[in-house]
Amino acid sequence: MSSQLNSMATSSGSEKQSRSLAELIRSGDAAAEQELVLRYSRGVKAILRNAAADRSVVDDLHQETFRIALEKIRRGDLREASGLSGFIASLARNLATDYFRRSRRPDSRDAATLESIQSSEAGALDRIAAGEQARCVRQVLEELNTERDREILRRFYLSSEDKEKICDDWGLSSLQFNRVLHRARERYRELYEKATSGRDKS
Amino acid sequence: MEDMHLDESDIAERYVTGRLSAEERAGFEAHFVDCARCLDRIEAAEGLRDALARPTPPQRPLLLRIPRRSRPPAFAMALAASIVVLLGVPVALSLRAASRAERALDAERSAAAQAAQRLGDLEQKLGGAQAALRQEQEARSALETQLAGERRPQLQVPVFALIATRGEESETLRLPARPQWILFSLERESPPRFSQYRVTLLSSDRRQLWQGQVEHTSSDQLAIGLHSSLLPPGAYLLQLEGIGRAGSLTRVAQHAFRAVATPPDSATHER
Repeated sequence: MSSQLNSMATSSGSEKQSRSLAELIRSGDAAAEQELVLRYSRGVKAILRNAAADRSVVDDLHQETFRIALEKIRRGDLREASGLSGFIASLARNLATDYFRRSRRPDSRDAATLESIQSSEAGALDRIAAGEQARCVRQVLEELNTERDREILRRFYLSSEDKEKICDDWGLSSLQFNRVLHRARERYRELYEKATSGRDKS
Repeated sequence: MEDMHLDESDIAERYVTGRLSAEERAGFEAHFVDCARCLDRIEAAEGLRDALARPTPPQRPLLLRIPRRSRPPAFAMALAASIVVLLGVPVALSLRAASRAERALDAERSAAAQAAQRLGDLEQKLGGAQAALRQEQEARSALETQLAGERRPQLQVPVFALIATRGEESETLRLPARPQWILFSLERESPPRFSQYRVTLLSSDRRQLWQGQVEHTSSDQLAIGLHSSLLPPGAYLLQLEGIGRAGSLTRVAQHAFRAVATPPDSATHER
């Protein structure tokens, strides 16, 4: 698995672009800085969401990631320009880990987590999005072929059980299991995009 | 990257549910940070996870509705009137009792729905707390690994003998490629006047990076151990001040140097 991931990380086909982007930033090109932010913004947010549940923290760390990244690239601290993606991903993850370590004590952890859940639920737009998500997931569950597939989805997403155990319980191969996840995810995406594009139009 | 292969893979799901090892996660993040297709998959998996974790709103109980006719036929009205007259009060009492029972049933259903909602909320909070705990464990594991690395005996410690510099003079130190402990050896003043010294490390913009007190190592030398991670490539100034009996400070020497990274084979310094 790790060799597959390493090859993914280095063979994305955009190494040349990354190199020239870093070189342009180093030479003081402001447009290249904007391009860097546009190109990596979505990915950085995904990493930060994965590391911290609180949306306000994600926004703050997102800004901080690009501030530090641009500073380092301008200074020439990025040794291998072709490793720009890895550099930015690792910077975002480290900032989130560092934030977590500094801001949370073990005994206040649960309370802080609950607060972040509560605060992340605020806002009318969030409630609308949550309602649409719930409708889409209900439809996905209804459309799944069997109760087995519905149960697999619930156990995989809502518990910390190993995939191997879930596969064993249902007598499934890893590939069959992945197909259930894949079908559910793609159908959910299709339904949610349809629902949100309808909302955007209205 | 093989997109077909990733389509069949569960890596996006394992990522959002925290099932990747730290190494797998770092590799995947370095890839998807610049990959729109993988980001689509991750966002869909996040949406699915969040919606599944959210408690399903209680559905309203289905009420049996009897369609009304706008104009009941006359014979039906007559029949109903007869029934009312014949059955009278007992039927009315039975209807009231049935109505009370229905209201009680509705109250029970509502209480059950609220309990289900509360349970869902608690499950969601538990899921969040478990995810936070996993992250904390990962951070701790990374720190322990780092600490174990630091505790390993270091068999080859590079030693840099620094000579006092003046004006624009500067030495170039080729530091080891991997972060490790290094040793600076400094000459004491001749003849020695101080037994204790204050050492200050400044960056090229005169920002203080480190300061500490040392005692002399031998009759003519001082030795200072520093971790090379403190010295990324750049220009530095190491100031040496003698501490007098009353605590007064006297400038003894300064050592300007430039740190550069070297390939793993050697670590040297040149002038």
